[in-house]
Amino acid sequence: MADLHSARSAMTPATMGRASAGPTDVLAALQLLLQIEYLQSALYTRALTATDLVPTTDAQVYSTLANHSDQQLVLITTAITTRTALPAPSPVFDFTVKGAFPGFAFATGQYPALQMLSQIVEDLGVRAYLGQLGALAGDKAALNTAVAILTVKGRNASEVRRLRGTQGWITGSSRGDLPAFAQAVYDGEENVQQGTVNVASLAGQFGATAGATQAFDEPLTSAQVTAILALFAS
Amino acid sequence: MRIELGSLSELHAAGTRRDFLRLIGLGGALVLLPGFVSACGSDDVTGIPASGEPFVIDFSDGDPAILQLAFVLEQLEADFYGRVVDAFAQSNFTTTEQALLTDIRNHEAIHRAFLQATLGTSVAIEVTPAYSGLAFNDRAKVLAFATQVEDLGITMYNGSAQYVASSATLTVLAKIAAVEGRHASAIGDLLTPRTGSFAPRATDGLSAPATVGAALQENVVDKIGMLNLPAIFLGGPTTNG
Repeated sequence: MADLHSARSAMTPATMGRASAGPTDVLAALQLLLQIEYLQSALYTRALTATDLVPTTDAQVYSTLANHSDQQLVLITTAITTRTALPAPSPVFDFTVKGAFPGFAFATGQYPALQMLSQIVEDLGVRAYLGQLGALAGDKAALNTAVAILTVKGRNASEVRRLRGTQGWITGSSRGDLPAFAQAVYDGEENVQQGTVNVASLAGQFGATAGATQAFDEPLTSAQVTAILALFAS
Repeated sequence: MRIELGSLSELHAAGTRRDFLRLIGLGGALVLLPGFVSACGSDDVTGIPASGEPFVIDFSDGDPAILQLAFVLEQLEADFYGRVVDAFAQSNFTTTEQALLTDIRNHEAIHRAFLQATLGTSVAIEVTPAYSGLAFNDRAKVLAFATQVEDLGITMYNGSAQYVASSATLTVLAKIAAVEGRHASAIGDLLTPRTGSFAPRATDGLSAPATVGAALQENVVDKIGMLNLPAIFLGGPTTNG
């Protein structure tokens, strides 16, 4: 953030709301986010259609998650098509994640695994969106769609974490009780250097370093997101 | 919203702040945001909204103006949750809820300190929050206000992103916004557990700086002025205006 104080807004009416054929990096960002939306939508759609998987007490939460991910999937798909590009097709997902959830088949009694998967895909979603904002910055309409979805990913992540007795925010790079493959979703969350400021040094009486890591979500690069998504490929 | 330059005495008082001197020198168009003075009685905790010393956020400064707007919001959030935590001994929050609200207090205090350090002490304008008779020991009232302030933070960060020139600043503000989303969800779930209240919509709103300023003014003693507001505001999938 070295340019913080000298920076002037580069925005002009000509650059705002541009929705014609987007630059390559904008489309690449949207295609990556589309993969996140496919993953989340597939998980929640299958969870909702399963028999006796989600307990009645949590049914409203899961129908909300499914509804959100469907709408977000449409938004990202539309963002791609209005930029005259073709959305990549949805992969077929393996929700055992190459056997990390052995035998997981959206079956009765497998709710704890579904809850873990929900936490993984939502925290992944938050970090994937954060990682693409820079690429979207020149296309304000796409940027606005992404930030409007980002904060809802944050809401969804907090809810699915709290539903399973975990705090709504990420402490350090802790994956908690999740399987080892999920560590890639949390690596880097321990960062405390925000711009020119080491926030851990300011957090003494306010949760110290743990609080400093909780207070900021962290981006994942495209390569990191792609590697994690590959684990879900069937 | 009205456009005014205030009374002579107000301008004189304003002269104590650097930006007002510059404003008078430039003769720029200033927006002083409306307060709700008449609605507030003697039970205000720290003072009457919009009754205090004026200050100006000048959007021709670029990214520092967005950081300053965020700093006002984070000061309000940190102060609010700080008072909630301080009132725990007299309040009806469960132990679990107290731990959650303490975490949120910590996060907001860290956000406040981060923005202050990033802006630098000479640029960061400290404000005095105001609460119109808010009972900090009353669970329902605290959670209602918390929802309001978290939602305001989310729409502020989301609506401001389009004006941020630095990619690094864009991302760091979004890192905070995502955590505000986590907070809003937790607060919503405390209010009505295991419903859709953790996330009322599939997309959060975007608010323009003037809209955010007007909302903040209801809980800030200092009189918020905005100069050179961006001419264009581009909404999102759901726009708060």
